[in-house]
Amino acid sequence: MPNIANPTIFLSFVRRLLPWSAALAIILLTLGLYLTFFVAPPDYQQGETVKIMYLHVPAAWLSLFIYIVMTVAALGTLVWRHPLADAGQKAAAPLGAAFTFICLATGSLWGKPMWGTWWVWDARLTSVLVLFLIYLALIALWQAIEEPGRAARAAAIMTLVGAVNLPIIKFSVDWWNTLHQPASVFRIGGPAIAISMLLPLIVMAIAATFLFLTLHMMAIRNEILRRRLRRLTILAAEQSDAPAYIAPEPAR
Amino acid sequence: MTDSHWGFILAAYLVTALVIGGMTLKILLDYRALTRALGKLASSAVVGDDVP
Repeated sequence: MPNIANPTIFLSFVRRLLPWSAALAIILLTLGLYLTFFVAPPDYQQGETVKIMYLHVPAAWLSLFIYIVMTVAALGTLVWRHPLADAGQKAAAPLGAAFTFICLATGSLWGKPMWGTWWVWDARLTSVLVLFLIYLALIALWQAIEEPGRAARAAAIMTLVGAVNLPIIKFSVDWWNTLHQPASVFRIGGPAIAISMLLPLIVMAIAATFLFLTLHMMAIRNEILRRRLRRLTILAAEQSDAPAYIAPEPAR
Repeated sequence: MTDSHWGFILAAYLVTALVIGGMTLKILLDYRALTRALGKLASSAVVGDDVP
């Protein structure tokens, strides 16, 4: 098995895997949207508004999943000092921010007709907003430190500290009295959703996961190329700045 | 549930499409810029245009 932790081997691995991963994401997304709009029934209480769930829930799952990916990559940075782990966590942060933003925006658009309000400062909504702010802070940290190795270590420490928020998000609906509903898919006693709604939801969640994996591979590839460009630019600048060799005068 | 809620549904799908489309476009443009810059650097190294 090739060592894909090697950046050069990883690039060739990405080149081969990317078309398949992108195709799978598009096919699953098309299937998921078809099931959402033409097969899934309206909810008996929410009516057609439940269609927002098929975006909101996968985005919410991904916002947590991407942070878990970043936490694992942060350990790779701090423990093994691996450059691919650095690239992995840097590439994931904007994607995590994007999916968390989708989760917050679709939740707000779902909340207004169902709860009568765009936003409430309850535990689930607030902890997800904190997650979004952590993603933004990590992106800012990466931008603020020029040397990639130092930036990676600082971001890794911040990522590990921010991981405390993950169980708070997951269990916020159990620990506190919130307006947000409790878990209805991953719960003891099985999902509380009818199979006709669960199936499109699972297809959309798998599609969103493949979409993330595709974009993440593309973004890691960009980070590897950015590091290569930085290294070559510094090397070229050092070579052009080096003083010309002057042969010593022979002793008289 | 009334049809008046379709505005919220469409807005949710539109926001998602814009965010994912924008993110994909940004990554693709970044890749193009990086490969161009690397290509330029490689060609200048071959030609040796840093020599005055």
